[in-house]
Amino acid sequence: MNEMKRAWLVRILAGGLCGMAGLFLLGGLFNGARFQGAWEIVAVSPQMAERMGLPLAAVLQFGLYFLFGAGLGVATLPFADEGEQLALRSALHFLYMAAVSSALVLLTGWALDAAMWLVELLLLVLLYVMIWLGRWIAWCGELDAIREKLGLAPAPSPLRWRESLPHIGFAALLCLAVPAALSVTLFYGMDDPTRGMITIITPLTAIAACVPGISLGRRHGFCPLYPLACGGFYLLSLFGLYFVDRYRDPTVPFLVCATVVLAAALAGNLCGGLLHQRGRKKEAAA
Amino acid sequence: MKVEVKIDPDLSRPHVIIRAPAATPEVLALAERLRREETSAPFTAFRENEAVLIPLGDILRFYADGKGVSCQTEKGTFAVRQRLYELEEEFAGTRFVRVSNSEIVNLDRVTALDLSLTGTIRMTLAGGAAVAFASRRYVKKIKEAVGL
Repeated sequence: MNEMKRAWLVRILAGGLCGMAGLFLLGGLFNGARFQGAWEIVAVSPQMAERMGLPLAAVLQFGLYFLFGAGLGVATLPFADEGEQLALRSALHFLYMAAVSSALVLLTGWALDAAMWLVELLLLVLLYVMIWLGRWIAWCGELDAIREKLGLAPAPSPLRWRESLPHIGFAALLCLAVPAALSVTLFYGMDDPTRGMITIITPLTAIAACVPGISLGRRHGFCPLYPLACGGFYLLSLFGLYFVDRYRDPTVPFLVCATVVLAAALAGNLCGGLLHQRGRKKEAAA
Repeated sequence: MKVEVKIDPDLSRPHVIIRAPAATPEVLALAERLRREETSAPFTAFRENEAVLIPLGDILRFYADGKGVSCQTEKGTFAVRQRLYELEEEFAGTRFVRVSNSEIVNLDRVTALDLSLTGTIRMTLAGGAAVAFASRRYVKKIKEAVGL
């Protein structure tokens, strides 16, 4: 067995086992919320158990958890290539993940109808676009650094808009498309989706918006457009939820949530900016 | 100017470091002279079995095209008798860097870098006299060569 095959096997096994453990908790909670109306762990989907008997349902559900985790475990390998290979392997990986996740949401009954299943597929597409965009941003940063060393670097644009552009695209996905899709997927049909959005999605989005802010700051210094874009996009996604939930007075909590996301992105960007400044000082001293 | 020579058997080629209190025009001119000294060293290539001496600085890239290895300058293309891996070893630590399975590029002649959506880097040499495509597998080598 060569090194590459061993790497795939280790990732499949480790990812599969982690997937089983992680989805036992998350999927269990989701089973509880969807079928029992409470956030408690229900290991096997009651809908599946009723349809095919508890033992078979348990084997099938945990088998799908394993396959899903294994897919996540090898997720970075198709993206390690380039050119046609990257396109082909990531397309195959996407088809595999789409098939496994569709089987999971349709058999367990997590997707109430075809529309919701399509939204879940859309979420998967967004995830892939985010991974690809994340890699592309890293490549852009790498290329900028090489250009600079070769004396080819262009001067910074006003407000560093050109340097921020890939990150703003990323912010659109992270703070607008993903929260909107997640809110519809996770909280559809529940009593208080707005509360779920505020307590679960907002902190996750804030953390996720902070990390690219650091990398952008480290690379180009303070870029004010990135945090503004994060806050603005998140606000838009929240107002999208307002139309579904008909929350009576959304303005204040929504503004607070958007400010939290903006502040997290700003904090990340400022930290990165400080690191950038320190690096330049060190370089000048050397 | 104080001149000091240190012998280090671990080095494969001479490595010159200029220590100065500031980047004055004299210091920059000295660095440029040394760089020119290296790039003006001749390289032997062939055209119709006739040996031609080409200053290294004039070479844009070496590439393998199935028939053998060639080197490209702004004035034309010449045949090279060495294999690419031999050239890679010969130019280790210089501005000639392997950028893909079939190309070695002179980084001093790169005038533009562009990124494709799938990660391949398009390198424009001498303002468009030649184009090379860097594979992501070799980006690490390019970064090392430019000191990243």
